[in-house]
Amino acid sequence: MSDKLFNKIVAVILIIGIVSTVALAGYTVHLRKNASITAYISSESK
Amino acid sequence: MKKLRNQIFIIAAIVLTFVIFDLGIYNVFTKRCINDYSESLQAKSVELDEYLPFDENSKIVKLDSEFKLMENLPVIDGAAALYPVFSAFVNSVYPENSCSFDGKNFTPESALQYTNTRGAYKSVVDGTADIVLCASPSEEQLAYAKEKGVDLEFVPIGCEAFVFIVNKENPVDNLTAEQVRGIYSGKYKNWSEIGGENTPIAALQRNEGSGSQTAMLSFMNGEKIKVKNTVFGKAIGFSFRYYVEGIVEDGNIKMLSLNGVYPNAENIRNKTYPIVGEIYAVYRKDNSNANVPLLIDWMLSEEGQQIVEKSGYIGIK
Repeated sequence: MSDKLFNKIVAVILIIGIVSTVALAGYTVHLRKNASITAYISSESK
Repeated sequence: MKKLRNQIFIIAAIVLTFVIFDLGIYNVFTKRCINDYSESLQAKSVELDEYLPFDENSKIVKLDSEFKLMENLPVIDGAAALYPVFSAFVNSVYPENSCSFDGKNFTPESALQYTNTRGAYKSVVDGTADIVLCASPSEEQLAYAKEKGVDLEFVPIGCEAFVFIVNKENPVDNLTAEQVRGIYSGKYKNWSEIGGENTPIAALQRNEGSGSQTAMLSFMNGEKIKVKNTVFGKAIGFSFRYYVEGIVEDGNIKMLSLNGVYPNAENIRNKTYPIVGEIYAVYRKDNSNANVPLLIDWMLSEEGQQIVEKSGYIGIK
């Protein structure tokens, strides 16, 4: 493929990848804030 | 051709890197934070429908009392851990049509309500509940009562142990009170400093105003809690014994001994377990409902105390 197309594809993948990673991190922080003590401790061995 | 192959390889490598990285985050951090308890337990901290009064399948203690109230019924509310107790009180003393539950909540006209500790203390001060069953109030809850010009009466009706919990696979079984305070004040940051594995300590807290958070602040004896929510390390938390053993009943959690004493019923009764607190029936001193003192006297009677003990707590006498 042309370099231009290749760069576009890589850019799109990078954007999607970064957005999904940030979203997952944010979701994890949200879950953590709302986690009950007992459920959180219990999940250590799940 | 070679160039195309290289380009495809690079694209695949970038995609794979993100997939592996995100899967790693999910497996190490996110999955731990997912609460797989039931919707009711998550929302209310207790399965309300498993401890309903006047329900033949209910898990509450059922005691047929000669003491009955038929009208001017005091509205009762309270903490999650005490819900089985005050539901059992209602079941013994109130008429069957006094309570109504819509599947998720008690309806506004029900004489039995459940709003948990924070809601219950507000309700009794505001006058929407006549008696609430809770552990000791927080400074903020007392300040709210004072701000509203309300004098509250606290009648101890039972005892309970304040416990510290870890995952069952944590090799630590016992801590001293000093070590627990050290964890929560930030002095100890790694389990290896207190006899455990070389891994960070994730010290967990509850919301301000909850019964167990208030109890924890009291236990800290003036020392500030200096821990933050984290997803790293092995966790330690706190609660009341019956809530852990009787309501949550999660086999992956274990209670720690404190100063070498395990929080079982015997050690709570003889007060060798170091943190035993009282549970209270709380009402407004200016409450004019004549049934309030009658009901509280009954809670302190042999029948009422039987319900307290059989529900998993220790009676006050």
